[in-house]
Amino acid sequence: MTAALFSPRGLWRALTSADRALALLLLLGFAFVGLVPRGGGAKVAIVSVGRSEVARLALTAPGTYPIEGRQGPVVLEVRHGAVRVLESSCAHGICRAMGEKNRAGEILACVPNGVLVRLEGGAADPDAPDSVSR
Amino acid sequence: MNARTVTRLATLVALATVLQIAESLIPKPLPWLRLGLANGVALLALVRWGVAAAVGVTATRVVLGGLLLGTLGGPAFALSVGGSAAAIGLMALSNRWARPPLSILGVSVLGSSAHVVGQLAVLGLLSGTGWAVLPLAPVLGITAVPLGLVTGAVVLAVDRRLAPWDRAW
Repeated sequence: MTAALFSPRGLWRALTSADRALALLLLLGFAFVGLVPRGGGAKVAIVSVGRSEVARLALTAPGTYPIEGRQGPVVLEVRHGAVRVLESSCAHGICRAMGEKNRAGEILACVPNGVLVRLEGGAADPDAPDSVSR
Repeated sequence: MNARTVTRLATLVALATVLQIAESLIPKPLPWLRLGLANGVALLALVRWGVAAAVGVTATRVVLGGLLLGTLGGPAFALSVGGSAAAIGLMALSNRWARPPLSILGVSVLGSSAHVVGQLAVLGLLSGTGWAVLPLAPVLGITAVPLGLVTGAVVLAVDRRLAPWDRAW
């Protein structure tokens, strides 16, 4: 009886119709959130540790940028107009698994290190430096 | 609180804490995947012994887990508190008002989904970005639903087995 519960068929049978409707609603709801239109191409990645902004990276300037987080270094990589976490000292690597981000409004976060990368769009300033660190 | 209740709650807290730590050690195919069995213990406490037991088990487990994992007071701890609080809150409400027609599985799915939302809310507050964390919701939420079902199935199986032993608890 217990083993049957853990088969796909057994699990399906254990669900009430309300459970099934709820699961479907939640799946569709979460998927819908992913379809919400986001901003256009980002131009700059704003990096903060905690609430302090520590760097602004132009997405037009490829390179690797080490950021000192709360637990250790977090290395960001800018390439092809996108930014990703290349290396991180955190245990789980959720930040690394977030992949590349290149749209305004998207974020990358390494919670154990307190590192947050926010992408913003706006017109690129040809006279601005490629990166600013504080 | 009599000795039986204290023993019961202590056992649940120990179980939930061990499960939380064990989960953190298991290599995951996707880093954000968490089975949430520790929350399953809270769900079991909720359906068998009520909201107070569930809240007590969860609060103690979160603190103990934070102490043992070395995350107490840090951002990961805040995420754990936010997620667990949201999960317990929604599970308690749905268990009281929506079961039936929902089963333990449905309550568990609501709990796992609320956990995701709670964590994102805390992340948005801590980082000061607010709604900017929304793009993280689809990936976390879509995996939370089936994992909530699995956790719910475990709780359902344990609940069925516990029935004849309840007097001993």
